[in-house]
Amino acid sequence: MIEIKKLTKSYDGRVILDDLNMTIKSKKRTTIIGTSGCGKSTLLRLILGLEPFDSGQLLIDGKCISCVNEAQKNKLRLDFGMVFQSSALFDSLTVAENVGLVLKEHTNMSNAAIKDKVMNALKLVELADTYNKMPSELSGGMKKRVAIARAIINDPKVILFDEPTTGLDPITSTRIELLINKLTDYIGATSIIVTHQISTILNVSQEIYMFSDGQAFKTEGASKILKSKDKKVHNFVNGLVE
Amino acid sequence: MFNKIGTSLINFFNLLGEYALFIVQIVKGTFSKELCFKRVLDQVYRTGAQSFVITAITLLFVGMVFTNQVTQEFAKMGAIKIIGGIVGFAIWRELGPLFAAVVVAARVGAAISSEIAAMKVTEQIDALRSMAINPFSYLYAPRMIALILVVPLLIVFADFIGFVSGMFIYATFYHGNYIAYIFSAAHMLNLTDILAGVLIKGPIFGAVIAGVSTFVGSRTTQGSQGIGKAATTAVVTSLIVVFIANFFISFLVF
Repeated sequence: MIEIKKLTKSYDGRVILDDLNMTIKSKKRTTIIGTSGCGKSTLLRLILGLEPFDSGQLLIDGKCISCVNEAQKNKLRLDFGMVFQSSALFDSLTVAENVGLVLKEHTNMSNAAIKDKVMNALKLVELADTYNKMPSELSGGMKKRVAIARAIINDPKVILFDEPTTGLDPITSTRIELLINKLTDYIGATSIIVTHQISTILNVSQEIYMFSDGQAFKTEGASKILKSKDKKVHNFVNGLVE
Repeated sequence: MFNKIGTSLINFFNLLGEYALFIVQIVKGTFSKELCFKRVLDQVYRTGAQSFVITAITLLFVGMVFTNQVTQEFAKMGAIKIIGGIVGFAIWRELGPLFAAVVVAARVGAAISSEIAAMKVTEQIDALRSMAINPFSYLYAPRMIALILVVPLLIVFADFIGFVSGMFIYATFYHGNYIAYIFSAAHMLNLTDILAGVLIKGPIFGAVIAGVSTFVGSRTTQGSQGIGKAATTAVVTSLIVVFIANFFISFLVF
């Protein structure tokens, strides 16, 4: 479980997260929605300890992420997988090297064992034939799927998805959404999906939080969100301008 | 006005402090068990092997131009026999190390900073950190070690090319004697003149170029515009620091 208590984060004096409180349940897919610049991606970075926050508490299974040094944070990070908005594949490595990097750096697995595990992960995302390709040879949707394979390779407890379907066509988006559902159920991981794509909200979410004015509040579930009684949520999901 | 000067000074010293901490992290990364020798070798090839040709071309012409200029003037004074020593002094003490550093800063420094900058703006460095991989030992330390090893080798090569190209001009256009040229250099130069450029300036210049380039690259923002700016800033800053370092080293050693 991830507990966020009175979290505050600002950049250059501009407050992005203002005494944010939320609880992310284990083994659930929690979607975070909100307008651009409201702090959704920032929260993911704070959860991973990639940036410090100004005040508050962020507890991952009871452990305080901000209370430990970088070496201890690295130990905690091994329980996480993250899919970045830009996919963030390493340009100089092949698809296989990208996916297997965390195993190569942090385990004593043999090259053959890593190869097997990488191939299995690529099969799960239906990209086994890209094993030796470079990221530059892949389409946007393929890069996203490779990024997902990379994020799940070491069986993480928590997977973070930062705008997983942004910039993709509707068919590819649906494939990614189905993949997210399939893999998170398969691994049994806690998933946090940051998105402003309506189809992703509707197809992936088990719980939904909306960010607004630095705060977070839980909304209706995916089946009822389009008819939300909350004006902010209703306007957001229906694309209505006030 | 004083407010602006004060703010600029504070910002400068803040930046210097951040740079110092950055270098400390690279040094820690160098001695961590996460450092991979294979990545260091890869960087040695990319930075060194691919810089030899441009270094050779640079010192070929530097050696020839310098020898031509100096020989013309010394010939008027009838002191042509010491040209080998003069050229040797200039090349081994200063021109070889400096021009090798200029080539490395321009070619390798720009490449390192733009590569790191591109990784920064595309979140690849964050991806490394999210996988509990320390970018200091994975990315920055191999480049630092590679340049500390490679720049002295490039300087040896540069010195040789510069000296020999000078000998060519001396013998061809001023009818000098090859043996006299070499003998003059052997007579006037000592081991410090030859080795200081390689063993003191070389590693220091390599460390400066790697440190500045990785630091500038890692702080990039603003997408593609930032990447271009990072490359320019890295080259200019590296060169300035190299020239300043060269002054102090030359002042202290020679």
